[in-house]
Amino acid sequence: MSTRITLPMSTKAEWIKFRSLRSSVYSIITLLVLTIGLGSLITYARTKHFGHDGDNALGWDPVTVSLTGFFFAEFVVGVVGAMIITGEYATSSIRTSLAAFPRRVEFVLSKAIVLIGVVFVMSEAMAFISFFLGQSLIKSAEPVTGLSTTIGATGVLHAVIFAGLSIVLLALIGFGLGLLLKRTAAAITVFVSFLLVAPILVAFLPSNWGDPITKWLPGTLARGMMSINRDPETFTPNVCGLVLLVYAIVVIAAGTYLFSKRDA
Amino acid sequence: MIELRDLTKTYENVVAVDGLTVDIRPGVVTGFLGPNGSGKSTTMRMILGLDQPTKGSATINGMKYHDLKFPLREVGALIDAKALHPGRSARNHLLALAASNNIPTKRVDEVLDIVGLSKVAKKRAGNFSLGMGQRLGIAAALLGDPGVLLFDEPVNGLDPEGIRWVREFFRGLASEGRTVFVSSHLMSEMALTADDVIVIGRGKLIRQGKISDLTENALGTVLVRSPQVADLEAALRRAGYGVTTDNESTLTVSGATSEQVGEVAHASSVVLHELTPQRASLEDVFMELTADSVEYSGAQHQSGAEQ
Repeated sequence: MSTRITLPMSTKAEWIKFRSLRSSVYSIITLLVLTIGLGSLITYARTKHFGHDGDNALGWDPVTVSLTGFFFAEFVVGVVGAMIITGEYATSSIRTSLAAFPRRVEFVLSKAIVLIGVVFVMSEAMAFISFFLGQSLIKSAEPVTGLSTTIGATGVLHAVIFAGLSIVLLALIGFGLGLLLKRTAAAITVFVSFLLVAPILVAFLPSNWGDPITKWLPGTLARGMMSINRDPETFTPNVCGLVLLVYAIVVIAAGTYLFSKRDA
Repeated sequence: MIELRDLTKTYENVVAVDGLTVDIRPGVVTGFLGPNGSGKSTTMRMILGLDQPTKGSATINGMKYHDLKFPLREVGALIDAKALHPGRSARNHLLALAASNNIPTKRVDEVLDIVGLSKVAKKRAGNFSLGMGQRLGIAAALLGDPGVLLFDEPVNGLDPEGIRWVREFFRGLASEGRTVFVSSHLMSEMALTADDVIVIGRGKLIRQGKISDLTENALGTVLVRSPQVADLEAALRRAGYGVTTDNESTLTVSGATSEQVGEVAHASSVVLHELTPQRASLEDVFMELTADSVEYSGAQHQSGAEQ
């Protein structure tokens, strides 16, 4: 019998909260289906039209192609991450939660553990299913041989695992933004700005200005984590993962600091 | 036992709670009264460690809320019946709370039974009526079988049967030796439920004591009916009592007991047709006590606009 609330107790509470909401369960299932489905569709189309739109053997990365659906997952998972905390503010259930467990740093930690657990399982499943499905589609449709790859090829297993991890890190960044900003709309706006809008704006800059910025953007880093044909302008997959991890830690640390000072 | 010591909360320039020092003792129901915006909810949130006091402290059995080992086993609170996720079922809402404080699952079913929600336990709480939401909030407060209970406006949205149930329920909890702290703006309700009462206005303590003392000490008025109203009025004014004329045969006397009015009438040989003491209700007492703080609030706004 422990003398006070332990991390397993508060984490169990957060897990019950997560799984008992239809919205979170449905968003995970929808995400899984759409990511794999869209990825397969695009993989098939790109393979069929190989050579037509600038796809050529040099730039062709069969791993990245089969994981195209991850563009979609990157966006949705940020929303899922933000909502596990902003949803509590929106319904003011945050007060009930914090009255039950007032140690706020540990409260954040319990939520992060559940988020990491759920998103990790989902995103790795998504990565491996997308990869194997994608490779078999490439193989069945390939106009020239040698376009598909295998999990045993150099760097491929690493890339597929890292693809899943990139989604976990983006979910954590969304969670951190939710902690910082309290409001779902605000958190999503900032998340989408960095993930989707920033690359568009940077694209308007002259390339000697834009390229050094682009490689630090979260979308580029997430893509860099899963690529086997490295763009010379980006970091290695490991460095990409590390930078994205630092982003997640910084945002969550800042969010936790504000969260523990703020009136609920 | 809840102890508030110089408890103060300031938002920008507004003082929501102003140096509140009171003890809320176990074994009785303590009513927490005040007009809207007087700082009742802010006080409750500070007791629960949700809001940080600007100054002073709130402790429960000598401990800060944050330091309680298993908060739900020591303090149960209903702060807002809507403070739950509408998509979650009543039972899951309670299960999550129970898990966080290591409370067994069977207790969840027990409290659902106590508040009469067993049949709708699997339904989404968002579809509950306000009254059912209040019952669920009370169930959550009872989860850890705590010695201290806080209820913010618990009878809101309850039907008459629910109100009677809550009233008896609170008295029962207090008779088991628990501290029961209930806020309300319904004075008449508190008159029936509370033993002790704490009245605040604009965040300041106005009165604290037994609810019976509050009404007894308040001077009521006396209604007199007489065919010689003019003579009686003159005599009463000479005796130094306040008089208002209601119509040509009735007066309302303030500052005097019915015995004193009767003696004045006898001394000046006035015939009386009726002599009725008008007992002050708790509502009247409350209005009288908080009148200043309400007026003060109006003045505050004006001076704010001038700045």
